[in-house]
Amino acid sequence: MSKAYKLTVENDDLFATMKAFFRDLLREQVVDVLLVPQESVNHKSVIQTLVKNEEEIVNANPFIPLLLMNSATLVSQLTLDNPKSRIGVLMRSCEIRATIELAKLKQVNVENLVIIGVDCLGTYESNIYQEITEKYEGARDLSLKYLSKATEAEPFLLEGKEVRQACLSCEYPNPDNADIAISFFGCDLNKEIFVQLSEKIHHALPERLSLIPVESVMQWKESSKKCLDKRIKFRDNLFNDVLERIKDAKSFLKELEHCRRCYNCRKECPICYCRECIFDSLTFEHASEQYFTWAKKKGKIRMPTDTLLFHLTRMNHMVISCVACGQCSSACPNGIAVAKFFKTVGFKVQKLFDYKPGRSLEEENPQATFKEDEFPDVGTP
Amino acid sequence: MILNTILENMGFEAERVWIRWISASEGKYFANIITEMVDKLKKMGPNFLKTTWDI
Repeated sequence: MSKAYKLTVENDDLFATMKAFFRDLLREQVVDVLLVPQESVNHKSVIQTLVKNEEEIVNANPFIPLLLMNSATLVSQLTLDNPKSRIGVLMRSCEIRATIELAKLKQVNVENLVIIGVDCLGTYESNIYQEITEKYEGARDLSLKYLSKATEAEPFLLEGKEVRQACLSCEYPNPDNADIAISFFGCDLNKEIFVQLSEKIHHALPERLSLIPVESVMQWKESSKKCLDKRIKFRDNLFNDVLERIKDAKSFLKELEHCRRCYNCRKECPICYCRECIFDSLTFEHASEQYFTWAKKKGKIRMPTDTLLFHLTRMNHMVISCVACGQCSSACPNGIAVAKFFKTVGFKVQKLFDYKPGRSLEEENPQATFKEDEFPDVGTP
Repeated sequence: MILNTILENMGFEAERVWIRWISASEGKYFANIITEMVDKLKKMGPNFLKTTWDI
């Protein structure tokens, strides 16, 4: 059970308060090093920075409606060789869930990891964000406007633009499983925000981080529920839309007609961690005569070959752990709705095993676990 | 199960993919299954994926 606290916003300045909070994490040695999103050099964008020196927390921005990559991949890079340092990482729910899935796949070591989660109202596609950013002074102003409906746990739609579909249909607006959760839904951001600490970490922490205990986080719970209800509605419509569009092999192939095999979707996917993907291996380096034989058999063939097989294989390999972060679609240069199919099929596959990726580290990955008594009807007609 | 779910939901004929437990010593059983499968497949007709070049 987590314990609830509030963090008072000083001088009506949310960002100054967050800056002090993150600096305290380092100064008080709650963590030795902190991965936190900060403004880029030109102040228009926000990217993860790995900070050792607390003075280098200059313009931290955990609220920016932009997610240039799923940080779970970074957490893997930072923890794979069992570091002794305590690493704090600021992440949204999709990144936390992906991190937990990677830990099950032995790609992340959680031993010295402190997860600082933050509620998420949704992020923009990078190109839309860049358009919007033209109309603002910088990332800070943009964020403050976007947060102006935080009491209702709704994003303010900048320039009338919607956030990513993956976000609109995300069933996890709150950062479950975080050690330190920045719970700002339902709060007046000029006054105070909630911070919830897990059992594991809350000992002696609150005083060091200027946190004041609170009895209840009712407005956070209620606004989060409202947000979730909306998202589930959107998600269900999305599922219906996908299953309508993909009725047969022909219609699925239609979705893939622009695929250029750049493998961006694979690269951005936090779950795709294979050092050598089978599609980069010799398995798919066909002999030229093989191509000619296929061409002869069918009359003509699409080049490069195996486009459908790539997507189906990737699906077969990782969809059980798909956290629907949508980075695959966001990275696709040709606008293929990869995230939509993977989320839809992921939902069904995960339901078969009553599995929710990222729900708990204790819950084993069903695809990686052998159970003798399971699906007894399969293989026995 | 995962494969079946993928095939069913992405518009493929999952009935063309069969999973059976057959030991190396069950030659006759294997032959029977294959005969049965070929019959069923013949009735289903050619697979769209065989002829489409857009794959």
